[in-house]
Amino acid sequence: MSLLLSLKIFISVYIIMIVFKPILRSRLRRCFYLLFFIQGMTIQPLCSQNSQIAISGYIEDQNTGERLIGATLYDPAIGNSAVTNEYGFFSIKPGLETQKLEISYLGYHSVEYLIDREKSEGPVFIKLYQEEQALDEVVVTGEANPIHIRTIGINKISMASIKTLPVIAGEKDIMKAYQLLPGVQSGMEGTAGMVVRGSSPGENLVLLDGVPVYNINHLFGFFSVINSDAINSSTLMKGSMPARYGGRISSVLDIRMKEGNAQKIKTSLTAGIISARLLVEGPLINDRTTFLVSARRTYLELLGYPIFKWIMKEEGMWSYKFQDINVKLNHRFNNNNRLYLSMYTGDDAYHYALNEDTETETERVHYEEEDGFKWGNITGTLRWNHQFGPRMFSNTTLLYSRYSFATNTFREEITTTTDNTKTLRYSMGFNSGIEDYGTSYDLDFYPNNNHKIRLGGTAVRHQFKPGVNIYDFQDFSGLLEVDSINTGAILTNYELAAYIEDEIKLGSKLTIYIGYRHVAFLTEDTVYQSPEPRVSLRFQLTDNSSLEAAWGIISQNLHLLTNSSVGFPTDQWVPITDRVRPARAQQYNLAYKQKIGTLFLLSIEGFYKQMDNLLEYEQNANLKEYWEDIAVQGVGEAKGLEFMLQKEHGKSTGWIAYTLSRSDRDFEELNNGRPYPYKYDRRHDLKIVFMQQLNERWEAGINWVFSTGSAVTLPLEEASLPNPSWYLHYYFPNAYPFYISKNNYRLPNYHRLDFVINYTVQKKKTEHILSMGLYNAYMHHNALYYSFYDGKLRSHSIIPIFPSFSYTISFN
Amino acid sequence: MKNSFNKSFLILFGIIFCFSCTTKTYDIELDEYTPHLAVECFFTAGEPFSVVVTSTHSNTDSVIPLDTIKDAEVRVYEDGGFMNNLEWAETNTYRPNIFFTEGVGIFTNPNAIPEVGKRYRIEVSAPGYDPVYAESTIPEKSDLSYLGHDHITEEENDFTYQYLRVFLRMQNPDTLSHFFFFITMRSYYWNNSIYHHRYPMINDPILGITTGQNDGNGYVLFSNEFIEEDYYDFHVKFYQSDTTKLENNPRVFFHLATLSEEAYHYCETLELYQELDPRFSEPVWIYSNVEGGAGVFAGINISTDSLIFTATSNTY
Repeated sequence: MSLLLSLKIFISVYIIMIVFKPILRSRLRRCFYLLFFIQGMTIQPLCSQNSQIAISGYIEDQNTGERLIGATLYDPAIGNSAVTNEYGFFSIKPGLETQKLEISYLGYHSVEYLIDREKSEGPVFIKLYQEEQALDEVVVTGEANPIHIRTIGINKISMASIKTLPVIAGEKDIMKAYQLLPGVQSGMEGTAGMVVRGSSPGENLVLLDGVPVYNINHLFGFFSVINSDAINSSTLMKGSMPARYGGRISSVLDIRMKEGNAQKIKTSLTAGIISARLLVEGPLINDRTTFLVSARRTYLELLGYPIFKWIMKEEGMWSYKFQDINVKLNHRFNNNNRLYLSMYTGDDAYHYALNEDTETETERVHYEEEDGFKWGNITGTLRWNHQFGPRMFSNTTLLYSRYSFATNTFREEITTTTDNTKTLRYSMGFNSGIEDYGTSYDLDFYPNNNHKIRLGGTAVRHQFKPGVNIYDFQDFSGLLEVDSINTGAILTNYELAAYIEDEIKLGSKLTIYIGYRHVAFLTEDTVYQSPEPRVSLRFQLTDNSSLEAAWGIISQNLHLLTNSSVGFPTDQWVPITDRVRPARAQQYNLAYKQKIGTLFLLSIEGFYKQMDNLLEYEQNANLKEYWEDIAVQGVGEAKGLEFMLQKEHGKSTGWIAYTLSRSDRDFEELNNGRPYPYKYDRRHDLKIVFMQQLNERWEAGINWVFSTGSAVTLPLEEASLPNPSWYLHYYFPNAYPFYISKNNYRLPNYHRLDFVINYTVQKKKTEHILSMGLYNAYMHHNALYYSFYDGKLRSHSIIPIFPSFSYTISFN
Repeated sequence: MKNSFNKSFLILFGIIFCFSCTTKTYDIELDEYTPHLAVECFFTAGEPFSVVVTSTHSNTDSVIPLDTIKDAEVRVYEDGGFMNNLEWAETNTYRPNIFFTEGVGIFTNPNAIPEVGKRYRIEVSAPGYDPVYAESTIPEKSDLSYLGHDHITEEENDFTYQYLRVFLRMQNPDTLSHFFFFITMRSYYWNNSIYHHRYPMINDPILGITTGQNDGNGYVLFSNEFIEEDYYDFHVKFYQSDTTKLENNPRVFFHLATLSEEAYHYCETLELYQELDPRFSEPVWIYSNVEGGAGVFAGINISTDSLIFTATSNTY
């Protein structure tokens, strides 16, 4: 058996090496073979010498059959623990004296699993109950102990908590929830973009069922594209992520969609202030096939347009909508084989149109005006899970992701007189996008309790359309000018990655994680090789405290090029090219965790991050020029301390999170070559989150957020040209802004208070949830943007207070 | 009681909702700033230094103050050694050049005359301001010469246009700086009916494209990066609609200024500031080589040629 396992590993590695052969140098290839040979030689004896039984299987939600990702199994007899993978799979070898395993998962009651050593091999299915459910038949143990598992730089928020967190307009939002954690902030007021440890929003990898989602913003960023109804679990890795993850230098948010209720058809409908959501899930063929369809659509234009027309006396017609659909199908062939198909599509569209006709005695003028924005994502995954036995689990995946963005502006004036007709026409368009096709293979191998090995590889083809401007002008004389910039600038590159990682337990107190990822980026004429070692260790000081340290290197083969106005989706994804090098980050982490009593967990985590080859627009860049000609690369540095005291279980839950941090950038071509604070540098960041289950029907959530104001570049001073020559006074200004340095000014501190109250009525066949809340309850003027006007700096806030209201009905 | 509470709650909620649908704008009190000295000086060979000293002012001032700082102390150094102090001089006591004109008074000294190739440093201090300094060198001159002219007609959109085309040559020896500023200018105010139709047009692969503004002037800022020969020929076109109204025999000057790198970057960023659409550009920072302050202290060298337009005869 063990020989067979080793053989399978070697075959997998061999396939990966064949794929990578063209791009790996021979010396590097030999190192890989040697590494896997040593690994194989180590594993095989480990497999063969162990006579303990291995228990493997899945941990599921009792009611829905959903697999629970990241659930913890703890063997109290030998102090060993295991965690379920992204598919709820686990494998653990209990000690010879072990009678039971303790199983816990965030938002669920912990249970004990009694070991039956007489039972034959085969996957076991362990059911957990959500915390709000009745618990008559379940043995409840103590709470989960995060001290026993690797948690450095890793945060999870349960979906139950996300439902109780106050959010803008009542749209439950994963992104907004993670913004309440230490080290995570929003880009600007109300937006869904994440800024993790002083990095750019483009340096976060958001994975939906393993596929990157490039644009996470709906409604210019006020909502995220992730529909929480369709989500099973999510994990945020802020640094030193495992070697199986790569591609972004700041963080990974791994979101897994629900598989669909395996027990019964369930429908729920939610209507809120700006949108409605529908969720249908259930079994299709017995309990082997399940499906999930979740859809969301705004009706902002239906409600907003009449108000807008009334207030603004506006003649034009406008509409704005966003929508998204998540679909997931999964079919279980048998206990060892499962096929998943998951898809997401969502887009935003804004359209404004105006038609006017004016007529005088001599002429008739027809005027037409049209503006539009459209952007959206499509993702798809086809995945085959295969369990080789109690110790090995594999995934084969085909993936697809596409993001596109387009704007258009059109003006036309047709003047008709008795003699002739003249046309003045102007139109401008901008297109940008990215499209990925890829495949990946992952293998989880659990030879014994002391090793947890994962290896695999990915091959992705990226096709970029970084930005195409199309300009067309026709004047009254009929002269037609067409000026197209960047047309045809479609760039294709390839990303190949292979990884291997092992979590090694050395004794009962020390766990070492060693991982290595090797990435090759292929551009037109250049191959960029990126070796990415990752190391971490966890030392359990006592039963209630641990010390963790981590170090890792990660690279990024695409950049989000943003201009000085933040957050709008006109930001462009651009690839690395022969001129633009991949970004690279090296991060050091140190964490101390202390369980206080049985209810509280204190964590203190420090980080230091160095970043190279970051991409920014050069000073004075004209954004109409080709992006590669106006972009510059430089370095960055971020460091900070994160404190978090949390209570995860019970009727009262919540946390206090404080971050002290600094983030700087240093570009030779910017700020006269001097370092400057990054625009997302926030010295202090404090969040207080409190959720209370008042009784069976009422629950409430409240949070308060404070952070130091953003660093922005404001020309506080002007220099004047008192006597330019009379040749030049038409060309040169009388005065011009004088910038002391980049990001020289701190905007006022940001703070707000939000709360939500949920009222739930459980009936025999239906469940009703009424949710009401207030965002920014004490109306603090947090600015969306700033401007100089009439000699004054002005702050513009568009959501001084925002009430939310939603009603959900679920049919059981 | 319960119904009354629910009703009140819903009304309150409705009011808050309506209130929330508005945008709020408020002014921010800006932090106090320390004004900086601003220095502007384009110096050329054989002409005394003429330095304008002002200070930066608040960006929120609705009126731009144009006062110079008269009590500043301005010292000039040549190749590392002290050269002279510059003294305050009222307006109309100095010669303007193509970059600045008479206006607000300057610091100058008739004995402080710079030369080509030497390195000059200016140090400026004034009560209440941090001292500033800057350095630059006058580049070699590039000679500009008149080669001739002709008359052409061009068809465009069913219209026929007449142009006077003036051919010019600039020298480009290896020792030259890489930056140039070319401008055409008239000698005095032309007849209104004429100057609108006399703007110069340049459309050249090296110099770039420009058409003069209403006052009849037009300039281009360029580098000799792509000029391989030791000279470069180009032409300027003047649109002619009615030559019979040239009453005062106006003279047109052609100036070619060889720029130091400091002068080039300063002019380049001022040009960008005027031209770029802030919606589609990064904020424009005006170049400055004045350490601790704003403005520019830059060497230039000007070569000039001119033509006289004569009426009715179409001769020049």
